[in-house]
Amino acid sequence: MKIEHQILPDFSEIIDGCKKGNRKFQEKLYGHFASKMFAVCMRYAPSREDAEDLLQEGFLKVFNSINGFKNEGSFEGWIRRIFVHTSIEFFRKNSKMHPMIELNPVLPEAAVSEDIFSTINANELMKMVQRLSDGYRITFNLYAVEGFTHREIGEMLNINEGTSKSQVARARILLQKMLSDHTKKNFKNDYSVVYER
Amino acid sequence: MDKIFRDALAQHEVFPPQNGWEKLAAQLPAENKFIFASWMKWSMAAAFIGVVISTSIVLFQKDNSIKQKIVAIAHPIFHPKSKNIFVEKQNDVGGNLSTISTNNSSKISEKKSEILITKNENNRNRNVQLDVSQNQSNTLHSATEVHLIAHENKPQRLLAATNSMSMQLMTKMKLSLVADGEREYNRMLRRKVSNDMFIDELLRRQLYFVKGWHIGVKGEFNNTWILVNPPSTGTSMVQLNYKIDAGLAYGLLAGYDFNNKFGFQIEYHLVSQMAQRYEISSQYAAKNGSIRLNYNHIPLLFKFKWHPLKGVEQKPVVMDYMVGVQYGWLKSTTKPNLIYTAIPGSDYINQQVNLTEWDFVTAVNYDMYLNDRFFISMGGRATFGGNVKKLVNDNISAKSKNLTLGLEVGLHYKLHFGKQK
Repeated sequence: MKIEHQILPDFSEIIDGCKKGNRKFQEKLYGHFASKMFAVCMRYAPSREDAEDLLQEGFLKVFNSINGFKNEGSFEGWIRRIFVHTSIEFFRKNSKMHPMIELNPVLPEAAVSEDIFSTINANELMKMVQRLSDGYRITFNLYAVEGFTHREIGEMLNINEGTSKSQVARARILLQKMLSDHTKKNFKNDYSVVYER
Repeated sequence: MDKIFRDALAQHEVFPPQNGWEKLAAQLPAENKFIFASWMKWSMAAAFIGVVISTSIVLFQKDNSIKQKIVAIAHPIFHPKSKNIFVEKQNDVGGNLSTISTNNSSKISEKKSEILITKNENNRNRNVQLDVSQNQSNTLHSATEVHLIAHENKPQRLLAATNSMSMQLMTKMKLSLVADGEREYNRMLRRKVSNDMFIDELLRRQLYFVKGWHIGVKGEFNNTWILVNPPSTGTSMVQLNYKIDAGLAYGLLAGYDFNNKFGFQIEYHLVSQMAQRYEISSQYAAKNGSIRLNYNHIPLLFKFKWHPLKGVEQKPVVMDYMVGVQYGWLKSTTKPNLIYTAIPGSDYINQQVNLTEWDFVTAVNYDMYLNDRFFISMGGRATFGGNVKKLVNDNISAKSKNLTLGLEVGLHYKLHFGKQK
């Protein structure tokens, strides 16, 4: 099926239709947000198959809880929060997090050349994030991309704040190493090396 | 470095998996809420207003005739099979009236009133109570004629002329037959039916069975057999097992009775669902499913009416036997898996389901009159048609005809009854 990407500045009609359970409007909503939310899922999930499951589960939650949306604030933000929480839930159910080992929270951040980002695209960056182990990937996404604080992350993941900090710091180091390897391999995107925690 | 990743990934998009929507739609709850289009709301409002206006016109219309019109008959007290109420001979049809009184005599010129006629017959008093409507300033005192308009295939001007200048003083009520009522009257005499019963019968037929329009609403619960088992291939072990499901249909109707035997009825179903639950089983597993096709239907039915007479003291009943056709167009479908998309017009559904259809319809209804205006119909209906081209689900691939059996109930309102000559 072709997913139509439409410019829909006003979602009120679609939201009302979805609240009534109208399939036509549900499909429109899906068509508009599927790409963005699939990218969110891909960042959190360890594999594309898991990301597809997350996409399904997330939209089911959106349609099931859309009556609770009060037309206040950003609708996209509301949907994104649902997907992020769905991803976290999935992660908690299916993954063994590595937070119990307290790493030194003050790990030095290695310098990364700004030049490298002009030669690497978002897909490659996302693949690097996906290569991270579950705990690093989740905390890095929540902190660096979504903008949550370590305290908020700790509450969401049921870990302490220090653990969140150490996970993010460790993720940075690993990502930096990946970027360095990427440079060395002349941007051949060979990340066959398994970056373990 | 965080900012670099955030800028690159926060609004990043990845093309979603193919068939993602179809898979998602299959998991969504069935679309079961009917959404009224604005034109439907307006048409229903217009229909309601139309009913109110037409009712008002009928109820409050003025009749300039100086003749009183009997519009309804109340309940004869005597049982119709009583042996004491035979008419002995034609000259004594009316019998002698011992008393005549009226209720609300002071208001008799303003609205319907009742005349209680007490007639001495075979040394027993018997009462026949008539409702009389009177118009203008004419009172029963000056009434010279009472008309009953009857019956059967053509309206007949029947009987009942009063020859007294004053109902209060009137001691005789001469009932005479005029014109084409005579044949029926003679038949009545042969059957040894009392004059009053004859009047009752003619009135009853007049009130309930003569030609005219009626409008109403109806609802129906049904079950549809849509899917069929796949053609046997010799290797297929897939089996389809039907389960009963309830589909809902409701709408507006209008009908016209040509006479007391024949008429037609046209309906507009605002919602007409064809629903079926089923179980697909194979040697490996079994799973349940359901299909629901939402249509608008317009049935056109020709009606034969049979009305067994059960005595004058009972409210009449009518059996309607109806046959006809119905035209329908698909509004939506909520079947997951089987029909992926809920939007008529999409390629997939075009391949599976005819967007328009013709069905054969037959129905039997039992009409019960609440009064001379309203009646309730209850009965069953069957439709047979071919809306589905082919349904595919896993190993199922088969052409299908649909059969729908339903129970229905309707409330009807007669726009007019009888015909003043």
